[in-house]
Amino acid sequence: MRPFLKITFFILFGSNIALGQISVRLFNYRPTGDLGFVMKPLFSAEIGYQQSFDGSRIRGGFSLTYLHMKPRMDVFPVTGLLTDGNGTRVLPGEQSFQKYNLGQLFADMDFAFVKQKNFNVFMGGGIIIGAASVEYKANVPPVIVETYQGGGILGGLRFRLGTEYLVNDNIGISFTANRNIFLVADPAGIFWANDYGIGMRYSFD
Amino acid sequence: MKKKSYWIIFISVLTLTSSCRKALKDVNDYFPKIKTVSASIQNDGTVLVEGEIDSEGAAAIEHIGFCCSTSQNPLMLASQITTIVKGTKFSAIYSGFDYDSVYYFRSWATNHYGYSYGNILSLDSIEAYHVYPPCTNTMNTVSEGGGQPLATYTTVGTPVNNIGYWEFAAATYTGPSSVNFSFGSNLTTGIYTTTTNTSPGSGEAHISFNDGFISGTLNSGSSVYVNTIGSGIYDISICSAPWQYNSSTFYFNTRLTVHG
Repeated sequence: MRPFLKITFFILFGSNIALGQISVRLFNYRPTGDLGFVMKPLFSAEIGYQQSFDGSRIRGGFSLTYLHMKPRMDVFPVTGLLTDGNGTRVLPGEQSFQKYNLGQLFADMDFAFVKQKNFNVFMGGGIIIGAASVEYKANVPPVIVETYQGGGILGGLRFRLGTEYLVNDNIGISFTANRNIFLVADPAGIFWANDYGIGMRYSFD
Repeated sequence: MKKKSYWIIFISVLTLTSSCRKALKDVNDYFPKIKTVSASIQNDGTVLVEGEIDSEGAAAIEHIGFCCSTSQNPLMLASQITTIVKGTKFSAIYSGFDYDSVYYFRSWATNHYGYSYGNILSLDSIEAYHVYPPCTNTMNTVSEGGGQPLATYTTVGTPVNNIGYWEFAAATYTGPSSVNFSFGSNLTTGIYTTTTNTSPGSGEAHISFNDGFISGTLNSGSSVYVNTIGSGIYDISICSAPWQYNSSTFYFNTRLTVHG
């Protein structure tokens, strides 16, 4: 079993389930910066374990998501520079992405700075770990002719603001906005993204 | 507690909204937007191409220039000229055209995100405006001055590119046995300036001749009028160009047609 799946299994069905808090969140993931130039926004889901604010202003949680990203252009126009005896020339080329998928695990802490009986407003942050699976072709002859298949681990942070409405003792509905920054090892890059989503936390207690 | 909460909200909002540019709606807005404004033939037969930047895109322009080809869709590497931007405008000069071809000019620009092209402009029958010598010598004749009779060229050589110099010789039976022309750049319509340097620079010409025991070289600073009158055909005139023999000054006149 792959480590990613093992961790997933642990999160969903491991010791935390004994605490009886499961959360599901649907969100719109919007890459920004250079990632926002290359990849389209997408919808995805996050599933995991999340504590309630019962008796405390602080809660923790774990979750995971999978992002199947699609490029904004079939072929991106890219350039290279060639300097030789004839001087320096700007070379036209192209790059296309066949695959750009991210698996991410989150470990978060939230602080409820507004805490009422059925309503909480919280901010939080957490760490991101995961992996990227990437496939692309870059062609700027004669300086770059590259076909890449692979990927690497990723790590980062996310910060968030959210509200939660407690429908009853077992169900909480939340809206959360996250700001993500993560570093992918290979192909190397620092990326930013925002996501906005609606979540539901269910307590088995 | 309330004050702390405001600070927390403030920092959170700042974190969520800052640090990184929101993705632009239209991916094409990341690239420079430029246009090829004009391509105009100059007096000397070169073409001045001008462009203008409508938008730099999502990052500063890194390289900008033009390409030119006889293909209807010139690509960046075709006769590429990179240039600099003055305000929002940029320009370049192309030369060395074949009169019988149609040429297509296009601007291009690059930034951090990639590159884009401007529109394509075309020109055909590119040639320099005629230059008009101040005299009208008889075609294919030469006079070295000093009372010598007008001589007719019997042979006119074909210009050859001799390591950067366009050279040819012409001969007469009754006048100079050879008149040697050496141009420092490709023959094209324009006014060249004579030089005594046997290695003329661009826009210069070295003219010398032999007539029996007499040999002469035209002084520096006279004009040589060259008109392109067909594909590879040139009409060359020299009007009263001084040259020295011993302590005397004589005046050289000629007009001839050369087939390149």
